Amino acid sequence: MRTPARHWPLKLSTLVVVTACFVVINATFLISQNFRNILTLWGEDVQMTVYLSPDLSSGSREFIEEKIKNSERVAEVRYIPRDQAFADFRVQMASYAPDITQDEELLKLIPSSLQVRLQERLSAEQQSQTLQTLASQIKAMEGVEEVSYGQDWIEKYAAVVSSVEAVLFLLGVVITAAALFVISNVVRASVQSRKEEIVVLEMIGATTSMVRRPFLVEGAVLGAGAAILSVIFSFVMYTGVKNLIVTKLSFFQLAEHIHFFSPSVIALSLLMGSFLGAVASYLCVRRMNDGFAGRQG
Amino acid sequence: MIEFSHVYKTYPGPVHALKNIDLHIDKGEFVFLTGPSGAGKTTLFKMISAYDLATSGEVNVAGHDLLNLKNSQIALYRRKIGVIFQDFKLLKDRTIFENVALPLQVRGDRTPTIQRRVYEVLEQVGLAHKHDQYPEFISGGEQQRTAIARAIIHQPGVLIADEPTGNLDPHLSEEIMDLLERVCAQGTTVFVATHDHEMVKRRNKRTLELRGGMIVGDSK
Repeated sequence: MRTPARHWPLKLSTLVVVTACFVVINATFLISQNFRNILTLWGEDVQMTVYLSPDLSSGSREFIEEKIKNSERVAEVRYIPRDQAFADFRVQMASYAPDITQDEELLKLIPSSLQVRLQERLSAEQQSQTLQTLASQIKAMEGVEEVSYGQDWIEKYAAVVSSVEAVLFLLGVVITAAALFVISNVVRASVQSRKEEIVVLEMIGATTSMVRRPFLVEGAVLGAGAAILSVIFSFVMYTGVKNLIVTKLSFFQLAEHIHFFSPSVIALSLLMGSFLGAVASYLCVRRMNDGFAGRQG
Repeated sequence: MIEFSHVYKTYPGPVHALKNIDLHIDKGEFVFLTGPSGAGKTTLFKMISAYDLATSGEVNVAGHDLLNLKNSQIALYRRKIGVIFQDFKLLKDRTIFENVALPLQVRGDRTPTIQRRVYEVLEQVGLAHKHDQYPEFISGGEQQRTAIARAIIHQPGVLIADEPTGNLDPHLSEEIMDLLERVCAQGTTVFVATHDHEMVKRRNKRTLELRGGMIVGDSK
């Protein structure tokens, strides 16, 4: 059987509704993906500084360094000798307070240190917990004067990340469920309007698969079409929002960290759209096309 | 050709739609089925067209035991019968030609064969000149003739018609009955349910009367 090429008004309205659903899903995922990008970016700044005693021998320092490296959550431990810290300080402060960099007494107070960076795969909450645990262990080591990791900032960051992820996840689930509900209702209405066709086809001896095939093809094409349109609409919206960030919120320097879907994600969304359309059609047709459509009316 | 033996049909309730139906219709016979609304005519026709199964008994049509028909065999069975409804059941978005061609397309016939056969049948029912029109733009009588053309295009052994003249005026009803008689004359068993007692009398054919789910009269 051929794919029915009629019912244009109904198909058009179905396409519009399904596209709108996909746009909402795309927007949620885009916001979620870019929020994560930004939060990860801020998270990359999370590190710990271990200030060492001035009279610490190089053997003892290496011993401390090795002990910290042994933690599986630690990605890198970098030794910053006093001279380098001094030079870095000079460079950083030169434009703000050039006089300070000439104060030799003050500079003598700058200690050598170890910069500890954690594994990137750790969540914000894990980072916070790891830093707390690690800090208390390191503090107890001989030759360590102070451990600093921006405790307040880390705790707030972890709380924000957890909340944002939870909200986005919930939003994603609710919107996806709502979209599925809308899509299946729209497709059901479309199939229902053609119940007569199913009855006639069954009556003249069309097999179950013959009756279903055109609806499945139509559902898949509709889903793919809606997915393509939704990607286009989402891109237009994304471009608009990015322009806004570039022009009005340039202070935050976020523009280079905001991205659209990658080609593989776009391809996947087209496949998913097509699959979803076919599945929604199948579920609707299956209820009507059991070989006994005529029994109902 | 059509054989019912001690057939009962009970719907939940329980509603006894058919009770102890014994019926035998030969090949090439023309039979009317009469009875008031709710007598069970449509239930009986749904069983013949394999839209419903008997609760008990035996139903045999064109050599098929319908109670033991597998789901996969139902479609193939329906290709051997023709069904006509009171409301025509034509697809509004397809032309007369396309509506009539459907059974042959379903059967997988080749396009030249389909075209030749559709024009033959449209000629037979007097609608060849309207082949490219849509159902809503032709009269009720023409719509029913289109439905008949669709029902006979694959030369079925059995043709069942449920109130085929229910929506038509007396003149058109006679026209449709003439057409069904011509189909019967070609060897098809024709079984027609109707309320029109006057027409049944005029046609002088075998008539079965159904009341309360039971056959109460057979003019054979």
